[in-house]
Amino acid sequence: MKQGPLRRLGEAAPADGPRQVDLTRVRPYGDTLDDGQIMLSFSLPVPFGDEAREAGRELCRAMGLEQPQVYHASDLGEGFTWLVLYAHCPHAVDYTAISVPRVTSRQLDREGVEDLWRQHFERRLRLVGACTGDDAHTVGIDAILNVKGYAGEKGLEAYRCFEVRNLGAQVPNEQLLAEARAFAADAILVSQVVTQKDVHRLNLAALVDLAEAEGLREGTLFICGGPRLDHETALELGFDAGFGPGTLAPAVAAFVVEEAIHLKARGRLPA
Amino acid sequence: MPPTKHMTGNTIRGHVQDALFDLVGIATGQGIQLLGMMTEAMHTPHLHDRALALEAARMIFAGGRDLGSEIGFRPGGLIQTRAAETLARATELLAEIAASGLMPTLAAGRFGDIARRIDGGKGLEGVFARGEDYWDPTEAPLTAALVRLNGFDPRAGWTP
Repeated sequence: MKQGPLRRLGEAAPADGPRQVDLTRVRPYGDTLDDGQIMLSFSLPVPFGDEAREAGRELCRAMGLEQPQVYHASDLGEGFTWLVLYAHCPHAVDYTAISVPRVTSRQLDREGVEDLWRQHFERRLRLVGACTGDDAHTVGIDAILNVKGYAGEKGLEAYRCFEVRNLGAQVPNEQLLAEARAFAADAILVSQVVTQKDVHRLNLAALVDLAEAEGLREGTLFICGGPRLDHETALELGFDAGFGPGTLAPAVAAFVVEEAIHLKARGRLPA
Repeated sequence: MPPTKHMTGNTIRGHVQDALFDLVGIATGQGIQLLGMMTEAMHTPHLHDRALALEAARMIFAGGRDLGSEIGFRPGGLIQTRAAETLARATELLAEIAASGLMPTLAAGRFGDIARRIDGGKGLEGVFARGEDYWDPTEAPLTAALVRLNGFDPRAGWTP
């Protein structure tokens, strides 16, 4: 790819200068538009050596990548090889055709959320949160619920509008629902941080199934969050919302209050 | 390893953070460490995530082993003050544990603000009393190594 001379800020690109991005055909960018450069890293269960390197390159070609180069290979021992490769991706995506479902609640700060709540409710909303299954990492649920919160944003416990019960880590789905029932929770917040082999998806789906079987799904908001979750996945799994990495308490708080208002309007939220 | 909350999902940055932690650890004479791994807080670390963490620790421990003996900290400075404060609090906590016992201190949430009750927790169904024919093949060689290192068995008189 030919690179044009440096331009001053605001100066129009010359006709033979750097090309504009074609948003209907977007490819990975290394240092030049459309170079399609991709870094890959994986291990193969084969002994370290030239055959392992070639197996890595072959795998990249099978993925539809071109000109794979092994930058690094190392012997992990016991017949395993770790590889770092760079390759060229000839494929493109149509960025203009992409649609990503988002949580559409308003962007409110803590006071905004509390004001909204005050206009619609006489009582505090009850929230139960837990990190479920085998996951022992409470960092996510604590960032959202704990008073001290995260990144300067206080957690939901600090909100006047919520009564919060944080059950902590490794809570079985059955126990979570039992606690939610005993607490008459308006919303259940589930965190899944460290997972393997998609166990977080199975675990979350199982929670919704169990809630439906117990008649708890209708009048309760189900919210999940974690580094490998997003709103679209959450909806697929039968949740009302999913929050990905970087979410702070106000986003969750705004969603809970807005949705609780909707539930109340439909007569599905206990007084 | 640094607290998990510092893991952002940028695994390469995480690897750097872990390396810095390893360096501070070895420079301050802490050669036994729980190693941080780049995908910690994302998924159960993959084979090569573990290998990279070990490789980095080996490199840093080898290169930084004697760094601590070359470094001095400003008297009355931030680091010295913080170290003195941490040491004082640790001593206080140890005295408290000596007075009230380990389990009650744990239950009171004195460790890292996390409470663990003696009748709470998980996994009791996986704990069994030792059978009559219980034998741990690693116990004898590990005890021998401890005695070799210390000149005596530091666990003598202690029963699990």
